[in-house]
Amino acid sequence: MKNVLLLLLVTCLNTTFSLADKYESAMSMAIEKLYQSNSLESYLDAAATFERIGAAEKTEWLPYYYACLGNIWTSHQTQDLVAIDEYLDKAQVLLDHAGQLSPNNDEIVTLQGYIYMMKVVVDPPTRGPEYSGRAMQEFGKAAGMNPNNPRATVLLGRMQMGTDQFFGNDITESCSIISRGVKMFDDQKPKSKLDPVWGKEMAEMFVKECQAN
Amino acid sequence: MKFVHLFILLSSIYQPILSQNMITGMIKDEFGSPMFGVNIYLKDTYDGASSDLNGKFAFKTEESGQQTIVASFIGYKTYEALLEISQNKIDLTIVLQEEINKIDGVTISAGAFEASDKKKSVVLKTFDIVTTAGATADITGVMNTLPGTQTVGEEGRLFVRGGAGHEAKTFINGLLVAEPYGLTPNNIPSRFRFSPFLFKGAFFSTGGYSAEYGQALSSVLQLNTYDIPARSQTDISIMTVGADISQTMKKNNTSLYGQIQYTDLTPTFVLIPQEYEWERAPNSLNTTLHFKHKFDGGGNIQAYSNYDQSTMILDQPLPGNINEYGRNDIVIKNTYSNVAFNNSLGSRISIQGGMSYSGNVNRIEGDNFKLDSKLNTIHTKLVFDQDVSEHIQLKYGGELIFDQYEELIFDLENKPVQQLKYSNDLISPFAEANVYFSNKLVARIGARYESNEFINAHNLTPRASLAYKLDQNSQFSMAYGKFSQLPVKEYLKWSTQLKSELATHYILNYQFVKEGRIFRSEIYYKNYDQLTTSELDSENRTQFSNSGYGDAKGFELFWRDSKTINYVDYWISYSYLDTKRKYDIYPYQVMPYYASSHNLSIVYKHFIPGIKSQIGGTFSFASGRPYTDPNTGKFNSMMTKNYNDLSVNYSYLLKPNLIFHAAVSNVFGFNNVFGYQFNAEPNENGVYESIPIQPQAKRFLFIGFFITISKDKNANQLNNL
Repeated sequence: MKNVLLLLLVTCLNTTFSLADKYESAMSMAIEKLYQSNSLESYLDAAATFERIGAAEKTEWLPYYYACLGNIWTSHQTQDLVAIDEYLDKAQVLLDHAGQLSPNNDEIVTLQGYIYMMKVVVDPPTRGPEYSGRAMQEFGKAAGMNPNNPRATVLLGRMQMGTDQFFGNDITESCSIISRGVKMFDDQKPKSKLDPVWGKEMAEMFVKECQAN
Repeated sequence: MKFVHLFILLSSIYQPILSQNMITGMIKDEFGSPMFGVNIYLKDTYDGASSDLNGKFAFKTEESGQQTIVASFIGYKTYEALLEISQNKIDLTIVLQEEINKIDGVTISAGAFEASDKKKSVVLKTFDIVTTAGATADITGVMNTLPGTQTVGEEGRLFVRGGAGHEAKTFINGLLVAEPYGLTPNNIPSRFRFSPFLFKGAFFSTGGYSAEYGQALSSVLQLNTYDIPARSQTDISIMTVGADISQTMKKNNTSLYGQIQYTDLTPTFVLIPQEYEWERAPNSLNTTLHFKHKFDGGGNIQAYSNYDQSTMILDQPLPGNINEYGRNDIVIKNTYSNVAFNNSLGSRISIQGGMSYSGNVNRIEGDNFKLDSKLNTIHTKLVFDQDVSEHIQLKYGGELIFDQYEELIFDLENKPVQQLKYSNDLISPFAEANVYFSNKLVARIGARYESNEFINAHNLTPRASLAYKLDQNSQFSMAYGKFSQLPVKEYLKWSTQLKSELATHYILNYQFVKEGRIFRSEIYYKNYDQLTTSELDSENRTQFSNSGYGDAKGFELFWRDSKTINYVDYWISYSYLDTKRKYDIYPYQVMPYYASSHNLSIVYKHFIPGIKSQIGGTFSFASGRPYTDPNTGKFNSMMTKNYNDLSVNYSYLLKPNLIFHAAVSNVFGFNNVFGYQFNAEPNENGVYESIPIQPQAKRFLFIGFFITISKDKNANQLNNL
């Protein structure tokens, strides 16, 4: 009898744990997969995994956030301008979904800026005037919502640096924004272990660009 | 021991759940090609995979029993099917059906040119409207570099495929602009009244257009204003032709824009000597107010209002008399306002519409007369767009146009000697269906009914077009349509016995679009009927009737390439036109004065990041145009020489918010002649003397600085970091 009770208890506990665990472990694995990606196929595969989790969970914004990020990073992996646009359009759809589930989220606003930033790459003369301004605005907005968001800060600095370089201006100020952002990575306090922490490597690359100048 | 039992028991319970089943398969499109990147998964689980480059996928699942398998890919219908997972290895072949893509799929391109940044296969980008050399930010100037248009240097408006200037109509957000151009003295080109910076996109049709548009025999230019701007800002322009300042205020989903502009050509005319004697160079004061509000549901409402007042005094030389001039003292007051809205009424139907008012008050004083004219036009329109099914889209609605014109002629003592006027109500319902047979084939069938109260004319004008996509990059498209238009006010003010003028278009188009390259070719035939004529009867009285007719045929080629050379974007347009008509005072069918057989435009833009500059050039060529030399006794039998122009422009981004722009037209100083003006009476030797109609100056120079000042908190966030 004791055994049966114990068994029932264990089974119950196990199922409850496994539901929450399942989301967390699936997300952790997918995040790991995304960070380890190194080719167009692997980025796309990681993004698809998040989409599946998002479709099953329905109320979590993080799967859509990472699926969007995965598509932005996929767009880095090709030179085909039409394809870049397609991945960014897809990223936008996913981000809109994330934004509906979690409004006023500085991480989501940062990704919006990131999408605009990449849009400029496709056709700088045509899109530069409109999208570089919009990207700056989104990064600024995210940094305003959370002044300690390292991603918003370094991307804002990088965008500013690009503008300064284009106009032949001094990049000291934009580089100081980047280095301020780099420090924020070490002080990040993610609310959960699934929250975004990416970007340090990218930030260090920006710092190198600063040093090269 | 108990624990061992428990362990065995537990594992036996978990056994069926932990057993993994393998699901493998292949994803193909309708044509059997493998699809890469498709997301395949069991619904409401995390189990799934994406297909590889060979269309193959494989994943393990611990689920069993009846599950739903889903395959999704953007642009394709999501596939869902029940799957019974009982065996441990399942192999599937899934075929995905393409979704009907109404934006980037097959589109009716016959006669249609689009400027937009949203769609992929458009001929022009928004940016082109303001950066095309020779156009100096004049929208019609840009459209004039597209095939189907004829260069008519002394008019400045659009002339499309052998049609007269009035046969092209302009709309802003779907609402009519009765007088889009400023009034100028004879042979002085007029400019488009609206700033190109207002518009995010344009649709320019050279024929065969939708039943939504009427009262235009040749062409429709539809302009779409920008949505809510990104931020509040102040813009200042300082130009050789004047200055303007504008303020944009934005709060959440609402924005308000106000602009005031003063232009005066006096400095330009001092700098560049003009052919004609200007007592007062053209100058104008222009104000704009623009309100925009976005509804939560996605729709929006806009109210736009523009007022401008221009004056100019010109002494135009008269043929045969070196020291005699015809005086033109012109005062123009134009008002244009519109309110346009669109919103969705549920998921499958949307409504758009609005009302526009155009008011034009002109006063012209000549040597021995004074003429006041007033034109008021009110246009109301309501259009419904309905997705009946995935394959059928309906558009239906109606419009009312109320026109009222009055003109008063005074003698030298300021006594009215003649009053002419008319007013007309036009009622026009229309309906149209877009039928998407597949992503390769679309047909558009529609009709429009027009009833003009003033001349009691009723016309039913059918329209039909078809587009067939040959492959990923190319498509054929054809269009047919009947079009009717009220005679112009110059006739309506004299006669109530007129009929609508008619035209029929037949167009065949081939288009190839691939990664930054577009090729288009088009052939067409256009038939005119019931054109208004003015003839002298046996008692030397002018009689108006609709006994005119004519036709136009030709072919056109267009090539744009922004891919081959880095940072270089160029396009080439060629148009061949063969047209004759009997209308107006033409005694028989003959090529009209505004037509030229060959038109060529080459537009070149080069962005140089190193020096933050864009340089551009536009070369235009037009073969000679007919004119009447009374010495020959034949109508329109002589031809002017060919027209050549090379215009260049240079834009320099001094700072992110400061642009320098310079443009020079006709760099090489080609001596262009648009026609000849002959004296009404022969001289003592019996010869009619003439003077050439030429540009007022060989070259036009424009220099301007454009400054943007933003106080937006977000934009200045940088300073707070």
